[in-house]
Amino acid sequence: MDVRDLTKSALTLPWAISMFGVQQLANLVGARPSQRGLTGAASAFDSVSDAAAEQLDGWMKQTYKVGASVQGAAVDLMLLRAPEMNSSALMRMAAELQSGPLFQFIVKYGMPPVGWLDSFLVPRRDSEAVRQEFANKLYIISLVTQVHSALGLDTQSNPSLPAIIERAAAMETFPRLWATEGVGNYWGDQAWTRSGGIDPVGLLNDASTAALPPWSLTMLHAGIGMSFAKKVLAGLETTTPPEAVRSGIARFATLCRHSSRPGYTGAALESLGLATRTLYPNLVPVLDREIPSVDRTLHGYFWHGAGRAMYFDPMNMLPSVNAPWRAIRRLETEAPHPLAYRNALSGLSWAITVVNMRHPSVMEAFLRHHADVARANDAFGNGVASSLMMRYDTTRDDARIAPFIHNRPSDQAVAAAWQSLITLPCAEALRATYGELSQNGRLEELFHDADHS
Amino acid sequence: MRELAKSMVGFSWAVGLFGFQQLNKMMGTAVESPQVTAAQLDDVSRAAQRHLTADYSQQFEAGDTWQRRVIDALFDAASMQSFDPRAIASSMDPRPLMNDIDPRRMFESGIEMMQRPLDVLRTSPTTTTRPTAG
Repeated sequence: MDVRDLTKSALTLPWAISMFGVQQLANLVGARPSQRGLTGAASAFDSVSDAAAEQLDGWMKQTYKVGASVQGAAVDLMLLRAPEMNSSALMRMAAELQSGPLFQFIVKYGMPPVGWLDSFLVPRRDSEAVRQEFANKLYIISLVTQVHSALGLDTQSNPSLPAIIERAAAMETFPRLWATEGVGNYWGDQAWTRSGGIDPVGLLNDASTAALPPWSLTMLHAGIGMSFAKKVLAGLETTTPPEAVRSGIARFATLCRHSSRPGYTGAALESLGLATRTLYPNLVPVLDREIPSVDRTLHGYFWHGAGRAMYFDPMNMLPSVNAPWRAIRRLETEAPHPLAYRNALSGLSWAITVVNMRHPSVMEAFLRHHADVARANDAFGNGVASSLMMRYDTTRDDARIAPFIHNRPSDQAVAAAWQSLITLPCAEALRATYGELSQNGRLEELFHDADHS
Repeated sequence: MRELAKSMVGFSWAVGLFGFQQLNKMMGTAVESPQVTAAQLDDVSRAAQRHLTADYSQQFEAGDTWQRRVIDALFDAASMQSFDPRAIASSMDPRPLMNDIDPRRMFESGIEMMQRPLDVLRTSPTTTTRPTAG
């Protein structure tokens, strides 16, 4: 074969594609529109697209996947439907690009006006709250992704972990929590580089980290768990044999146990669900199926993390597709059994609370729509209380904790729900439960629905 | 309809990217042998061909055979392998192609394609109601 054959092939392709296009057009306009005809045409287009996509290499393949997802979502939006797209490729690309200037620019300047405009599609009573919630989520995303620059972390200097945490301690109380989680993730990533790919040990429990302040420990553990999860999940696919999936789960659990302090391992384990649901959502059912045969205690933590991730799902992010909290409905369809549902609900309420604590109006709007769900399942209260205890443990000097707990909504029904679902259980949790967990070295219980896991 | 719209958009995206990639390879900006590039092009062409009905497939074959003959003639002439103007003219002669493609049939198909949607509209039940007394 030579250039002559290549030229022939190159000219055959546009001819074949043109004939294919004419054929499909003839099929579509030549008969009365029927569901069967439309489906047939769609599958014909898909099969040629698949054949072309199969030949794409490297970044072109990734570009195709992302572009196809975005275009599919655009078609959904044009037809006034909630976009359905597999966010895993998009999220992984975003995760890779997140420290880049384009991502930061989009988060800082592109998304706020989009959210503001989109909030006009929401009924007026909720629009202010969902607009605020959208802004809060963007703020958290920028905090987590800018932790390197905020704390002056680079690959050249090698400060010790206690030294980095000292810098984080100088931050304002609200961002400090997220910065600490980001530091844990950074520390985990650095450990992989230092060990040359060998599974690291002793990240938070060796002598060099003995000076870490207690307030930093829960979120540091959550951060290293995220780093371990990303590493292990990168080697798994939906087609991976079950034994290999189980071995990956066992490796993750071992990594967490070998680097965690007693009573904090759960905080690291929980990140497996967060990472899986965010970066590899198609692996959630696979891990749910295999986890019980490897490590039963991991199951509840996994679903708690998955619930936290559902809250940050980009598909639920825009105000118009968020309110009235579509994540609650998704949780019902995604959680395959009661343990999953309870822990995911706990994780979801955990996230809503900690992200929007400065703006109780968001939780008020949530309760206006979903107080029945919250009353029907005490996992909601568990999530809210755990979240506040974690916030208290990390930044007990935060002046917003008490105002949130004792908030008085103007709407009578919401005020009653707030009193029974937030004020009473959270005041009790901070008065008694927190001290008990802290003294007995069991703060990891804050990262799952401990009563039912 | 939504799925069809998505498939059509995805199709143009996939074929566009694929074309861009193959063009890059042919221009020599990517390291790949011409055999591999040609085989990839053929794979996608075959995938499109599989969805052609007998009529369209015949027309495709006729066009493809003609363009391949033209390429052969041009390459032969360029490499001075056989510089016979009559042979070149005969291989570029589009009359066999016109016989196979049958322009009359193509024209009729085009007219029919435009006619059918109009027929569908004409025969669809009318929604207007006659005014009734009382």
